[in-house]
Amino acid sequence: MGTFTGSLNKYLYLGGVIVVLLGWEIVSLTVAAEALPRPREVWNGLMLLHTNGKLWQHLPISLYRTLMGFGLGAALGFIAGALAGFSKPLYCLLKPLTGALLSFPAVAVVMVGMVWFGMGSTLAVVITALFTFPLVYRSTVEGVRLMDARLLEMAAVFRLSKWALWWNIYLPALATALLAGFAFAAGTAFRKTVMAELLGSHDGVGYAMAMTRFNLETAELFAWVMVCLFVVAGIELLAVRPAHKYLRLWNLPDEKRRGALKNV
Amino acid sequence: MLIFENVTKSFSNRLIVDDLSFKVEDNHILAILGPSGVGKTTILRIAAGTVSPDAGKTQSDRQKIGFIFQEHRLLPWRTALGNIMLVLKGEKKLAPQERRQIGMTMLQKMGLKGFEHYYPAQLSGGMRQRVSIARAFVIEPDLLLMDEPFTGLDLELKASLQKMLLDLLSWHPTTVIYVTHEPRDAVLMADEAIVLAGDPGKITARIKFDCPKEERDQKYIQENTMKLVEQLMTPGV
Amino acid sequence: MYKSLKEILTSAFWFLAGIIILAGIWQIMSLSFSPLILPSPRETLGAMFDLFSSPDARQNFYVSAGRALAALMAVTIMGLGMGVVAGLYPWLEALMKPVKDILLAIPPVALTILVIFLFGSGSLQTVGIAGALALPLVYGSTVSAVRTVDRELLEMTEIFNVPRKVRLWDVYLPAVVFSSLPSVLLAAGLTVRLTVMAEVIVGVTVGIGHALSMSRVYLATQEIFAWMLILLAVVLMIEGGLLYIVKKYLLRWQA
Repeated sequence: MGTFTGSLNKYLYLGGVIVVLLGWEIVSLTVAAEALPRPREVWNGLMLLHTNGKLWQHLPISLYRTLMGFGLGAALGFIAGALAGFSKPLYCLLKPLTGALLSFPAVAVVMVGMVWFGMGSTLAVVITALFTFPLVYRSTVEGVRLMDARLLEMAAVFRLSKWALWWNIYLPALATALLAGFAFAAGTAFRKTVMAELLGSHDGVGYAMAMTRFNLETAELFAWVMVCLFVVAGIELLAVRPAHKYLRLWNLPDEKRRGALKNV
Repeated sequence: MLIFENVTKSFSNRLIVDDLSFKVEDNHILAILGPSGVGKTTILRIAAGTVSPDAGKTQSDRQKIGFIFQEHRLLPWRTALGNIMLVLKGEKKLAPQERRQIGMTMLQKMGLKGFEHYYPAQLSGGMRQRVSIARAFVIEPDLLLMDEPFTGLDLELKASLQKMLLDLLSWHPTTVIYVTHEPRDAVLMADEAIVLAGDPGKITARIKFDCPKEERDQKYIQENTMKLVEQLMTPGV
Repeated sequence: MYKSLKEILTSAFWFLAGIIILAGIWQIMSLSFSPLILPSPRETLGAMFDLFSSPDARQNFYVSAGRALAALMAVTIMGLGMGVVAGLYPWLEALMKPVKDILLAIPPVALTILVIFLFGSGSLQTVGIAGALALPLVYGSTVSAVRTVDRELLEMTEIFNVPRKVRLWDVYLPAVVFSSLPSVLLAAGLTVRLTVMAEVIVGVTVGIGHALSMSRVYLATQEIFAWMLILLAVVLMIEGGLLYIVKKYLLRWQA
C-alpha cells in the first residue's frame, strides 16, 4: 500500500482515460453503430453540433438557466442558512422543509412544476433553484454552527466589540460556509437544469438530448453527453477548485467528502 | 540478552541514532531516558523489528515481543477480552477455549474482573492501559518493550500500575526496555538506565542500580533521581 | 453531546411547528387553486388512501421497492469490494478514477438515455442506472476508508505477530466497513430516488415511475403529491431505520 507522487497519479489518470477510450473503440467496433458509435464519430458529432448551430442554440440557454436558478437558490439558501445558524428555533422550524426537499425524487417535483409553470425557462430555473437551496442552506448552517466555540470564547474573554466579532469571526465563518456549499451545489445545479429541460422544455441541452432519443441519433446523444461532461468539468475547474484552494488555505475542511450528497 | 551494536538509523536523510551500542542482560529492565525526539522510540521500533537499522546489528532471537504503547492502541470494536484474544490468535497450539480462559485469567489478574466484555470506550484511561499491559503479558513475551506507558495518568494510578507491572514481572520474568522521560520512574523500576542526548542521539550516561528493588528507600531513589536529572540537564558531564 | 431533555423537547417542538406551518401554508394556498394545480392536504391524503387500497398501486410500489433494493445491494457489494481492492492498490484506483468521475459528473438523465440507447428499456436497465449512479459514492468512501485505517493499530498487530488473516478480518475489515457505513446509508435513500427517475424516463410499464407518468397524463396531480409523500416517508424510514439499526448493533462499541 504505497502512496504515489502527484505526477504519477496524473499519468495513471491519463492511463485510465486512455483505457476507457480504447475499450470504447474496441467495443464499438463489434457493436452496431446505432448502439455504440465509435469515439471518432462522437467527436464528429460534437463538431457537427458546433457547425450546424445546435450547440450554440441550446447550450447558452441551459447555462443561463443554471446560473439563474443557482443564483436564486444559493442566495435564498445562504440567507436562510445564516439566520438558521444563529437561531436554534428557526433551524428546527426549517428542518422539515429542507429535509423534504432533499428527499423528494426530482422527477416528481419536475412533474408538479410542469403543472404550475408549464414548459420552458421558468420551470427550469425554479427547479434548479429548488434543489440548490437546500444544499447551500445546509452548508451555511453547518458552517455557522460549527464555528469554533473556542474562538468565540476567546472573543468573549478579550471583550471583542460586536463589530469586531462580526468582522473577524462571524463573517469569515459565513464566507467559508458559503464557499463550501457553493462549490458543491454548482455541479448539481447544472444536472438539475438538464433534467428539468428533458421533461419540460422545448429548448436547452436537456431537450436536445430528449430529441435524440426520438430521432435515434446515437452519435448526437453521445455528443451532448460530452457537452454535459465538459460543462461540469468546467464548473469544477473554474469554481470548485479555486474554492477548495481557499478553504484549504484557511485550514478548513472542504466539502470533498460531502460530494457524496449528490441528488437526483 | 539483548544487544545493540553500532546501530545507526536515519529517516528521510535525518540521522536519528548514530553508532549506538548497549546491552540488556536477560530478565533485566533497562530504562532509556532522554528528551523528546532524541530517538528513544526509534530504538524501541528497531528492537521490535518493525524498523531495520541502516548499520550495525541487534542480537535478539526473540520470537514473542510484547509492547505497551503510550496510547493504548486497543481495537475500539473489540471488548477487553477480545483485544487480548487477538494477540493470542497467532498461537496455533491453543484451542479457542484455552485462549479465552487465558485471557480471562489475565484480565482478572489486572483487577478487571467483571469488565472483560466492556468496549474500550466504556473503560477509563487507567483501565485501558491495564488491558494494554495484560495484552503484552498474555503472550508470555521474551522481550517487553514499553514506550512511556504511564504518561498522562495521575500519580496514584501510575503508582498502582507500576506495582502491578513489577508483580507481573516477578510472575513472568522477561527482558524489558522501558522508555520514559521521568527519571524517578527509571529508578523505581529499572536495573540500569541509559541517558540519550544530542542530535543524532548518543548515549551520554549509563547508571546501574545495584540495590534490589524492594530495598530502594526514599533516600536511594532521591539520590539516583538527582543523578539522572543532572545527566539529562547537562549531558555528558 | 449530551442533550438535556429540555433541549430535545424544544427542538422537537419547533420541528413539529415547522411541519404544521408547512401544512397550514399548503392548505391555505390550495384553497385558491384548483385541485389540478394544487390539491389540498386532504385530497392528497385521500389519494394516498386510494393508492393503499389499490392492488395496482401496491404492485407498482413493490416492484419499485424491489428494484431499489436490488440496486442498493449491488452498490453495497460492488462498492465495498471494488473500494477495498482499489484502496489497497492505488494504481487501480487511479485507473478507475475517470470512470468514477464521469459517473459523478454526468447528469443522471443523460446516463439514463445513454443506457436506453445501449441496452434498451426495461426493468434491469432501471436497476443498472440507479446502481451505476450510486456506486461511486460507496466506492469512493470505501477507498478512503481503506487509506485511513489507523496505522498505529496496524503497527501494533505487526509487533504482536498477529497472523495475516486475523489482521484482515479483525482490524482491516471492521475499520473499513465502519468507515464506509455512512455512505451506504446515503446510498439507500439515493437509490430510491434514482430508481424512480430511471423508471420515468425509461418508461417502464410497472413501477412508481410508471404510476407517476400515468398520473401526469391524466392530470391527477393529487396522485403525484400522494406518491411524493409516500416516497418521502419511505426514504425517511429507510434512512432513519437503517441509521437506528446501525447505531444500535453495529456501532455498539462507540462512545
